[in-house]
Amino acid sequence: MIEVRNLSLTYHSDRESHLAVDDVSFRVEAGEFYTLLGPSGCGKTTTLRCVAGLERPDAGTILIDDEPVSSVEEGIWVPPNQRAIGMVFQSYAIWPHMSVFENVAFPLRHGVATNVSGDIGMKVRDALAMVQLDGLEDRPAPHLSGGQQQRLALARALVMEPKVLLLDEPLSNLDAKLREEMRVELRRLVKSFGVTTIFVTHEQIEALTLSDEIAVMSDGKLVQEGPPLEIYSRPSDPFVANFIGQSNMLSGVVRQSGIETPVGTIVCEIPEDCGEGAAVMIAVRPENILLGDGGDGNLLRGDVASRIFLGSSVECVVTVGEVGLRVLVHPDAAPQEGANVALRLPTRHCLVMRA
Amino acid sequence: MGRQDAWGWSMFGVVGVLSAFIIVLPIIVFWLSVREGRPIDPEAVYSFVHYVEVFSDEFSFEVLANTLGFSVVTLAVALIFGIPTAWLAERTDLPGKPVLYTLMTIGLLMPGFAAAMGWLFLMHPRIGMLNIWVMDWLGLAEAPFDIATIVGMGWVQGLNLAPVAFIMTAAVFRAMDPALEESAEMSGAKFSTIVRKVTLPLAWPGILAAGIYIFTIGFAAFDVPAIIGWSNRIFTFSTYMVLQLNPDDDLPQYGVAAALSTLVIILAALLSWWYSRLQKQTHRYQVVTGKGYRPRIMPLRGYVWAAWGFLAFYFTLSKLMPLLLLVWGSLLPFFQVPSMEAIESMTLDHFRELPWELTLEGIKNTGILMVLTPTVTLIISIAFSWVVLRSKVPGRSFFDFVAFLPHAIPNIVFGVGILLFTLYIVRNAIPLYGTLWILLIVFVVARVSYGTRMTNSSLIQIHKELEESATMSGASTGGVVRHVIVPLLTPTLIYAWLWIALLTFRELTLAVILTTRDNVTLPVVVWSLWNASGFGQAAAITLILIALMLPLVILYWWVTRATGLYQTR
Repeated sequence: MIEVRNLSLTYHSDRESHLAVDDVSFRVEAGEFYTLLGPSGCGKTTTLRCVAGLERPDAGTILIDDEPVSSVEEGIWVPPNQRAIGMVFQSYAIWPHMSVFENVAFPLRHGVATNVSGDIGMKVRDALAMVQLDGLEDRPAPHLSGGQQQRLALARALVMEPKVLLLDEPLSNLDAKLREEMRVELRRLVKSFGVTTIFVTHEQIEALTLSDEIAVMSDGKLVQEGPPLEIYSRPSDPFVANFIGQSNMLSGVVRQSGIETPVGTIVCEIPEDCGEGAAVMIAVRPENILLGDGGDGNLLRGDVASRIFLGSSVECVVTVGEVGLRVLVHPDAAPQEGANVALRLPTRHCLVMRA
Repeated sequence: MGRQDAWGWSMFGVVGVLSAFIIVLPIIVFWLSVREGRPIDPEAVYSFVHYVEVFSDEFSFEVLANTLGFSVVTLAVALIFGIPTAWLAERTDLPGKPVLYTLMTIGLLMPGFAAAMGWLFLMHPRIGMLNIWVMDWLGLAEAPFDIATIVGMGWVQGLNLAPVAFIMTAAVFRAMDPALEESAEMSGAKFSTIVRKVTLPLAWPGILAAGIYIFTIGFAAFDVPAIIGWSNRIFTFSTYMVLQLNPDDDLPQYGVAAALSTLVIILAALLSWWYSRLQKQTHRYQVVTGKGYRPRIMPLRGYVWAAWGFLAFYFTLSKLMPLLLLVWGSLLPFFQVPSMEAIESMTLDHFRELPWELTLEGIKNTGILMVLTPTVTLIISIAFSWVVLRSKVPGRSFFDFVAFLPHAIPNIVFGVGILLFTLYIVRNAIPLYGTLWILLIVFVVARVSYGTRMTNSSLIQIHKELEESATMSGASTGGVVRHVIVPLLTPTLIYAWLWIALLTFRELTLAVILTTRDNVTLPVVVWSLWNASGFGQAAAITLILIALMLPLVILYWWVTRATGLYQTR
């Protein structure tokens, strides 16, 4: 279990200060796979490094299994080498001057706080077998492929049986094909170990496929937290709606009859805190907009301004009044450029959030 | 890392102590330069009497003029040989480039004082072999050449520093974007125009850096002016300083030496400031981008022979000829031009009659220093680099500046500083004077700039996550240093160790100032024999010194080839 309370950290450079982490709080249950997702510079890696102890926060408390490891308010600081946290770095940080075996044995041999009972060799071999690197013990570490290095880094992080595992963009250095394979593999390994995991990534697809829980960060703040499906289908913030998948954004004002927008009045579910006259944004994902006028939903008409073939679908931009809406359609059903088409925005796919 | 453990603290300690030394020594020099009378004496007063003494002596101005002239000639000769060699090595299809690099490395065998002796045997107005030949041949009454002049000494020093110019400019030629020259060619420019208008202007910042560096070395050079100039009463700054510390017929003039040192510190500061300004201006053309270019290679075609002729000319003049003359001189009872008579009189007497007790003492001391200096320097350099690059102490870049000071200020100033420090400040409390330790300390101070440049640049290349992952694995700061940083730095450390060992082996300047009968080093034995006019014996012991250096040079050559590192200083 990891709990982060009101964490803040400011970076000071020569000229300016930058609030990298701004009052972030979250809780990761034991055995949970928790993902910090956001664009580069959003503070996700800094947050992770605070949990690791590689950065010192300016404010806030971090607890692991209800024990504070860092608390500015209480003056508590446990150095990173005594936190017994396993960590996989973005570059893997495989020591090039050691063999595969020596890399994995390092935490057992040189850790200041690790109490190793039993046979180091056995534990190392077990850890290597778990990531399917058994038999490569004596190979010099630089002679491994990218995927093998990544699994080696994982074995090294897990060999001391940590309570917590931190993963800093571990898939970003792999090529696309391998990345897909390792996504599945990574979750399986981590879950079979039952270790509480925080995963940092800027790839939404990784976050959606791996996580039990996702926290989306932007500008040092945590903007939305929830299970993958909820984050994707019910974004509560315009940033989340656009960062995870794509969304057409319509600005509007709440009225009695629905929401008044530049494309007309849209009828949809309005959150309770948005009273009449409130300025809101409506997010509609391109794949949720339907072509044709038969059926339910908010009916609009527009002209096809452009069409781009994407392989499994065609992305059309349809101009309704002044607004261009992106619509994903099956290649067989794609209209011609310049065609006048009817669009339907299903009520349940029009998500309203405060502007 | 927020909190330091014992290792972290001890690294701060090491850095702090050496930094204090580096800062305190020039301050002591300055303080003693403004004290009249015995400096520690309560009755001593502050005054500028030593400066008055320096500036009222006409000889000081002669020395200044000599030094400037000597430095300018040195610079010109070094660049004339160094830059074309660099261009040939990096930008042409010259065959046998490995041979060129090997010769440049083996050239390290030749200490400045050895080359100077060789040239004196060749061009001394009275005994110089070349002079005697030419006078015989042309029937001249007077010697046509005189090496014991400012130009002559600058020539010898310049030949010796050409490899520095070579190394520093080769890096620039190597990293130049070939498209810049190709586009000049596509614009219709001919070869000579491209060189004048594109290549040289682009290489200018590198050439300038090499030039200023060589000028500074020339300014503070001791070996060549000492061997050639001293006996002919031609002094430059360093030899004049040593003369003040050991006058022929007077007590040591420590106050004057301190004043001279202070003036040189000011001069060095001005030069550094001017250089950093120039660098900012020339920064606008960033030639060295760090990208791996494949530089444009010029086919030499028929000019290969001219190119190798030029290189052979250089190597003969700077290395082969002085070495042969040393061998010749060491085997003759007195120096004479080659003849059957001379060959018949060849003998090993000079080797036999060497003061062997002193020589062995010198070999022992030099051996100890050769092992300790690089070892201590590199341990301290690692600590400096760690503090500057990896710790998060506020003001850590100050330590980088301090580590760079011995590069900017001529080493002889630190020699004078520690001499005055041991004589006046710690005196009997810590009996350093006349021990090997005093030499070790000042050698380490003199080499720490180089050591930290090396450890800095290779620590920067070690990905920080390699250390962080060790920390996350539970390792202490000491564990990270021992198990990750040091093993990864090892190739650089081996290379730098050998290079510092080589420099220590041939270091004459600092040793001359600080040596007594008890801590004599091998180069100092050479110097004292030479001073006692034992030319043949000095040549003999120089050859022994070169022979002893040979394994180290071969090892160094092998390591540079194995690691791909190559660099002087």
